[in-house]
This record gives sequence, C-alpha cells and structure tokens, in this order.
Amino acid sequence: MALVQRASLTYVCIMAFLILTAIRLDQRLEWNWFLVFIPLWVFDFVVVALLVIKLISHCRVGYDQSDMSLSLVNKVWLICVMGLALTFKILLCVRLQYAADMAHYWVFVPLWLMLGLSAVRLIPWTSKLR
Amino acid sequence: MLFTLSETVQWLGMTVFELWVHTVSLLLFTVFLTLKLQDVWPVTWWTIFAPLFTCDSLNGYFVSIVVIRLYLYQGFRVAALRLFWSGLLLALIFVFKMLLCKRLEGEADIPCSIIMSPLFVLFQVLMIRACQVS
Repeated sequence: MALVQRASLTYVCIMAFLILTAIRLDQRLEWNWFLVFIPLWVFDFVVVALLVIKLISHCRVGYDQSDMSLSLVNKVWLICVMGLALTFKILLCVRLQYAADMAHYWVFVPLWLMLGLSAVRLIPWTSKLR
Repeated sequence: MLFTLSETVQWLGMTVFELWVHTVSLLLFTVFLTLKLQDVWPVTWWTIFAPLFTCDSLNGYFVSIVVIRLYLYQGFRVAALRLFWSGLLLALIFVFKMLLCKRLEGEADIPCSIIMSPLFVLFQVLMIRACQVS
C-alpha cells in the first residue's frame, strides 16, 4: 500500500472512532463499548493481517519483498506491540462495559509496557532521524 | 505498524526526539491517571495532566530552537513553514488537553464533541499533509 492509502485508512478509522466516542460520552447513544471501538478493531485487524502476511513471506523467501523493508526482528517487535495495544483496548472495553470494579492498573499495564518499550526503542533514533 | 519510523517523521513533521518526548509524557500521564482513578493520589486534574503540558512546553522550546537554526541556515521560507506546522500541531493538541482538563475538573460543562473538535481539525490537516508528502 502507498503512504497515502495507509494514511487514509488510519484517518478514516481514527475519525470514526473519535466521532463514535464523542457521541457515546455525550450519552446520545447507549451503544456497547465494544461497538464504539469497531473502527479500531478494523484498523488493528488490517495492521496485524498485513504484518503476519509479511512475516510469513519473509520467512519463506528469506528477505522482505515490500517497500517497507523491515527486518524479521522488527516485524516480530511490531506484532508484539500490536498485541499489547489490542490487549489494552480489550481490557478497557471490558472495564467500561462489564467490570466497573476491576482495578485500573490491570487495564493500563499493557499500555505502560507498550509505551515504555517504545520509548526505550526510540532512544537510539532520537539523534539519527530528523 | 502501518508506517516506518521515517514515514511517521515525514508525515507528522516531527523529529524522533519530539515523538520520544510525547511517548514518555504519555507514559507518565497514564501512571498519574491510574493513581488518580484508584484514589491513591487525590490531586486535581491539572496535576494529572502536568506531564502532557510539560511535553508541550518542551516541544515548543525544541521547535523554537529548530526554527532559529532553520532561519539562519536555510532561509525564512523553510523556517516559517516549520514554525506554522509545528505551532499548529502543538496548539491543537494543547487546546484539546486544556478543554478536557476543564471538563474533568468541572470548571466548564463542555460537550465531548466540542472537546474533541481540535482533534478533528488535527486529523483533517494531517490527511492533507499525507497527500502532500506522498
């Protein structure tokens, strides 16, 4: 996919999610939170599917055929990050919809891991990419 | 994810350092938020949002240095464009956080659609930039 197509997908999913969240929080809709998060589920599904396809193709051919040219380690890392993000969103929906007595830190642990690891991983790049 | 780091930098018009500052401040904010929601640390919402506002001020300072250097080495036009883009991004994010904080603190009864309006504008602008970058 070209950059503009990927950006369009991101834009549509996030805008739809923000609009649904605003409507839900203003209590004009009484939708289940799992339904409000549908745009993000769609986005996550596309991203994970693309990553898994690229990972399988990389393992079979031995190199990355796409224009993104990510190493195998980077692909596994991105799948782990997506897994953490997905876990956070599922736990958040469960907390908001079904388990009001669930401790907040259980919800935020995957997000902390994701942000902490991303921050550590970004450090070597802070002086390289401008 | 969907974008490489260089594509993200190109699209958002931010340096990796700015992205890193945003990531760390978000991490701190979520830790503070959890402490507040669990009633472990009963402080005002302005204190909880402090890491995010600090991030904005740090990025503002960083951008001002970058703009001065760009003006000295690459001319007025490049510096003005960078200042406009970074200023717009920072201002929209700051307004969103301020409105959200006011609503949570009970200082103003603002509907969520109004609170999120800076984010709607931000994503429109980012979409236009994606077309330009590609």
